[in-house]
Amino acid sequence: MRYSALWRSVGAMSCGSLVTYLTLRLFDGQQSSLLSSGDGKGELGPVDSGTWLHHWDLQKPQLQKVSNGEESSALRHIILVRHGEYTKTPNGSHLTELGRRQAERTGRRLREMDLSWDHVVASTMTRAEETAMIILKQLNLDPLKMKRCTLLPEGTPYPGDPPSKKSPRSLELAYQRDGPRIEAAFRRYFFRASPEQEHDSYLLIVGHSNVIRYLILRALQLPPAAWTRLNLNHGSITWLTVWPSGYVTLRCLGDSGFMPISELTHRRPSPAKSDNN
Amino acid sequence: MRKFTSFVCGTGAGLAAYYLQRLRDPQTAVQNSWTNSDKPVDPWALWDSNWDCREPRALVRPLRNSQPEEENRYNAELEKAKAKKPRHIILVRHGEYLDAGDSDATHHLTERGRKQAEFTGKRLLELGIKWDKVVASTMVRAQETSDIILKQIDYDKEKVVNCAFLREGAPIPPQPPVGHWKPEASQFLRDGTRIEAAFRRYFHRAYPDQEKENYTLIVGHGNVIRYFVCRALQFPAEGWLRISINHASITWLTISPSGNVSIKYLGDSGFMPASLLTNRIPRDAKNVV
Repeated sequence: MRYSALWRSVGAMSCGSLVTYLTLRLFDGQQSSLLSSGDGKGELGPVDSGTWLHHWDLQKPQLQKVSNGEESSALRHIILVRHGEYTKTPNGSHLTELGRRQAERTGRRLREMDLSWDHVVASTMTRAEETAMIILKQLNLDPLKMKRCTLLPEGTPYPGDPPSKKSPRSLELAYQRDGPRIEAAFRRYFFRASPEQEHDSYLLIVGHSNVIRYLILRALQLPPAAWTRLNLNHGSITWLTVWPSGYVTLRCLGDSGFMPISELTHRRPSPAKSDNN
Repeated sequence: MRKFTSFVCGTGAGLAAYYLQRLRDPQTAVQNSWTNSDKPVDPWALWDSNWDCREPRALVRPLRNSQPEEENRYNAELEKAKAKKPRHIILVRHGEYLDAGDSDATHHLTERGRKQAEFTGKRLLELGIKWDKVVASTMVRAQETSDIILKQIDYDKEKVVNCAFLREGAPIPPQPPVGHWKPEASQFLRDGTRIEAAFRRYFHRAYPDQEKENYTLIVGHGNVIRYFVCRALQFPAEGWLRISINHASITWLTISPSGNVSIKYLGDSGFMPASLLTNRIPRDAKNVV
């Protein structure tokens, strides 16, 4: 008698657990299928090695029409310029004499290219602003038209690979701080032309080495961890084109051939650096 | 009463089982919202330090035991196998040309192409490099370009190596595929491995006996150079068509003694006046014959 009661309660218990488990599973399955039918198209899924993600930018509100099948015929050119050489002084870090000359040469080269600039954006750091001012003067553009962007200042966009010599702890901290911000900069400036855009547009961004290198790799859908494998000279020009299909091509990286060899630099002058440390 | 309690217990157990299951579900693992992966570095992007099979550890007989003599032997051999100096590989694309006629023999540089090559030669001279090796593709346009460049730079013309591995071709089907460029599968089959062989011939870290920095100049073609860049930086090689480089532009890769590869610039053509910049066969004249 006692045994049969025990068996009965065990049976009830297992029945209960089975029913609860199955109901929850079923409910969960429905929910997730509902979710995925809602925004499956523009989702940033995991990128497999080498394959191109076509809908990488379609979550932008101005590209709503593109996801409905309309396509623009205009290109978006994004030209990235690194700031000139600079040093740290007691009253902030400023461009050196050489850095100003480099910026002038970059400005002259950009003028020679004879493009009609739609937007000029500079990072809010002094060295980038100073560089942008010199370039704008060469381009004969109104300095008031320049926008300053707080997403663009220098930082650690991603843990580099092969790893650098910095301690992993400080790298992790820097990445936690800067990673999302620099990714936000990418999402702000990189997208295909909307169907309303009629002419090719030219966007000039004056920024910093790490940020530019990360933007290049993200735009080309190459592993962003590889940014430490690229180098950029001071004042060099990098040119990316976003096609109406969403395809991105790189026209040149770190073009600095317009500068004499003697003026090529890519890091802070060393005596000033040792002053600082 | 007892039945009811055990049913409630069962419900609790069911809930617990469900949540345990849920926690193990890979979809619901927490991810950084701004990256495409939950790991800070995607595993497929990791740097392979033995990419050229010249990592000292791969060259030396492994440790047999932990005897001090054996360890000394191992460390000494390791030190001997280590590269000491970097290698620089400078890739130059040929100048603008016309694809007149059916064979490569009639694909000559245009007037503008010759001017471009002259500017490139001048720039290479200004770099003030002592060249250790100059290699040119055997195709006519690359030969003509290298002839013009060699007039400017300080290198004995007799010592130039002409390499058929470097000829233009279709390295690997590009990702994403593009509409206007669709070679046959047989072309990829034929050229792909040949261009990969060229990569393996010229890209490796320095040999341990190299005592100075080494500079190699390669005059080649657009597709091949772009494939080299992707392979050397360990990008997915399918992405080579995402890059485009101007005629007679300079691309500079450095292989450090540790085997790490970095790129100094890609498609540098700022030394040419902007009016001379081209990157394809002049459209109005394409296939004139």
